[in-house]
Amino acid sequence: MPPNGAEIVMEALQSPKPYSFRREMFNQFRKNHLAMGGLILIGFFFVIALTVLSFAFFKVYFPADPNAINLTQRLLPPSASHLLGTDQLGRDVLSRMLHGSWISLTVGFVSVAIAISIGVLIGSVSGYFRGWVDVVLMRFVDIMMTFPTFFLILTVVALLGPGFWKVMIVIGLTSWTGTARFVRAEILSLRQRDFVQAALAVGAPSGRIILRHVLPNAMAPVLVSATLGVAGAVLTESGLSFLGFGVQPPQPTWGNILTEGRLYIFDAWWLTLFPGLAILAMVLAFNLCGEGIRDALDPRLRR
Amino acid sequence: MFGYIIRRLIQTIPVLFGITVISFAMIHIAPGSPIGQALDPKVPKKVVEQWEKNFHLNEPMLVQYGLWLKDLSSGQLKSFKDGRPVLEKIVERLPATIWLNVVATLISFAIAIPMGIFSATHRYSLPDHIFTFFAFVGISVPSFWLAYMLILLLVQGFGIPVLGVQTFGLAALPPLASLADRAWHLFLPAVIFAVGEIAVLSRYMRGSMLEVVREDYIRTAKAKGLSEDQVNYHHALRNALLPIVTIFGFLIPSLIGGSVIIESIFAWPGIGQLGYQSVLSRDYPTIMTLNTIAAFLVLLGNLAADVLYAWVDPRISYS
Repeated sequence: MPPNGAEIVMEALQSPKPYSFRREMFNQFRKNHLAMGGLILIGFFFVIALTVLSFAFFKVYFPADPNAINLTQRLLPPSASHLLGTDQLGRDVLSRMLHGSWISLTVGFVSVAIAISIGVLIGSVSGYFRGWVDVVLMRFVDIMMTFPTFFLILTVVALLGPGFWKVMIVIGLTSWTGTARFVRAEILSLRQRDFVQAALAVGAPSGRIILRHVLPNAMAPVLVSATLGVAGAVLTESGLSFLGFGVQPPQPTWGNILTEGRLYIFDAWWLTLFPGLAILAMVLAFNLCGEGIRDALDPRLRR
Repeated sequence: MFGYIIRRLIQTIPVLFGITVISFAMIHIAPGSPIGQALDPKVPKKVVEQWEKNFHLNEPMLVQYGLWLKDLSSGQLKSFKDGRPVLEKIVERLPATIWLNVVATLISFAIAIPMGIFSATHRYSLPDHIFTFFAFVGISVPSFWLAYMLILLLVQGFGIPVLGVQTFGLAALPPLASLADRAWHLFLPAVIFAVGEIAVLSRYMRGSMLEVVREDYIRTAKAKGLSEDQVNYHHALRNALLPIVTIFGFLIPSLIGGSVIIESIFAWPGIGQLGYQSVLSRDYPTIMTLNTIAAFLVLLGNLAADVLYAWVDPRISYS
C-alpha cells in the first residue's frame, strides 16, 4: 500500500530531520536490492580501475605485466600461477583484463558526458525558446533518431579510422537525441510554473532562468538516462571492438581481448569467457543502477 | 484517420530530405577522396580519373548530391565494389534477413508475453524477481559473446554445425532433411537475436499489465465477484496488449541495424552482413543507400505504429 499524503506529512513532522527530496530518493533506492547490487559493483570496478591505473603510473604491474610476452607459455588454461590463463602470446589474461578495466569505464563516462551535454543544451534551448528554434532543432532530432545507431556509429568510426578518442566522440555525438527530447518536454512544462514567471517578472536573463531555475528541476531524469547511457556506451564499444573498430591493441581492452581470443575459441575458451563476463557485469551494473534510480523517482512505485 | 495519415506523410518530407543530406554528408567527412580510400594506391592515375568520372566524383558537391538522389530513386546507383546496382544487391539479401527477423520476433513474443503477464500477476514474487533479473541480463549481454558461448557449447559439446544457411556440402539432401537443416541453421541466430527482444518486451508487457490493473473497470470487474483469472485474462490482458502493437513499428528498423554483428558471426547472407562488408571495403554507395533505407523504414515504422495503435484502441483519435 503506498503511503498517502497525510502519512507522508505526519512522518515529515515527526522526523527530527527536515524532509529532503534527495534523502527520500536515496531511501527508496536503498530498498531496491538489485539496484544496490549494481551500485556496489560499479564501485568495485572503479576501485579496481583506479588502483591499477595508479600502480601502472609507477610501472608496477600486478599480478603480472599485461604486455609481457612469453611464447613458451601460450594458451595455458587457468591455473594457480595464471588465474584466468594466458593468451596466444603467453600474456596473463587477468593482468590484461585488470589493465583494460579503465578503458571501458572511460569510454562509458566520456561518451555519456558528451551525449548528455549536447542533449541538455539542445533540449533546454528548444523547450525554453520554443517557436521556430524548437521546430528546427526537433526536426533535426527526428532525423538523427531515424538512423540505425549502431550501423551509423560503425560507418563513421570506419571512415575516421579506429581510436580511443574517436570511438568515444562518435558514440557521444550519436546518442544524445533521447536526452534532448525529454529535457525539452520537462522544460516546456517547467517554464509555465509560477517560480519561472516570478523570475521573469524580476527581470532575470534567459540564461540565468534556464541554468538556475529550470534545469536543476529537470536533472533527476537526466541522471537516469546518463546511468543507462553508460551501459549502452560500454556495450557499443565492445561491439565495435568485436568488429575490429574499437580501441586498438596493444592497449588491452575487454573487447579486444575477446576479439583476439575468438580465433582460438575451441582451444582456449577462457580467452572468450572471462572478458565477456566482465563486460556483461559492468553493463548489467549500470543498467540495474539506472533502473533503480528511475524507480526511486517514480512515486507510483513506492512500497 | 485518412487525413491524419496524409498529414503525417507530408510531415515526413523534410525529415526524409534531412536523412538523405546526412547520409550523403557523412561519407564526405572522411579525409581524402572516397575513391582514394576504396582503390589500391598503385592503380594508375588514368584509371582513377575514369572511376571518378563514372561515379560523378569530379563534379561539385551539390551536383554530386543531386546525381546521387537521382540514381538512388531510379535504382541506378552502382556499387563501388562490383559495379552492380546497389538496390539489386540489397533486394537479393532481403529474404534471409526477413526470415531471421520473423523467426526471432515469433520466438520473443512467444516467450516474453507469457513471462510479462506472469510477472505482473505475481508481482514481487520469487519468479517475478528472477524474470526481472534475467531481463536485465538479457539487455546487458553482448550478443556476440553470447553467440560464441553458444557456438562453443553446441560445437564442442555436441558437434552440431551452426554456421551459414545450411550445412556445407549438404545441398543435395532430400527436401525434408534439407529443410530441417536450414531450419536449424536459422534457429541459433534467431535465438540470440531474440534474447534482447525478450528482455525488453517482457518488461514492457509487465509494465503495461500493471498499468491496466489500476484502472476502474478492473476494480468494477473484481467487485462483481469475477474470479482472479477472469479479471486478469478477459479484462486486463486485452487492454494491456494494446501498447504491444506499437512494438511492431520498432521491429522494422532492426532489419538493418540490429543484425550487423549476429549476421557476421553466423555467416548469415543478410542485409546486416552486406552492411558490414560494405563498411570494410568502403563501398560508399551501398553504405549510403543502407543508411537511407534504414532511416526511411524507421519513419514508416513509426507511422505504422501510430496508425495501428489508433486502429486497435478506439479511445485514441487523431482527428
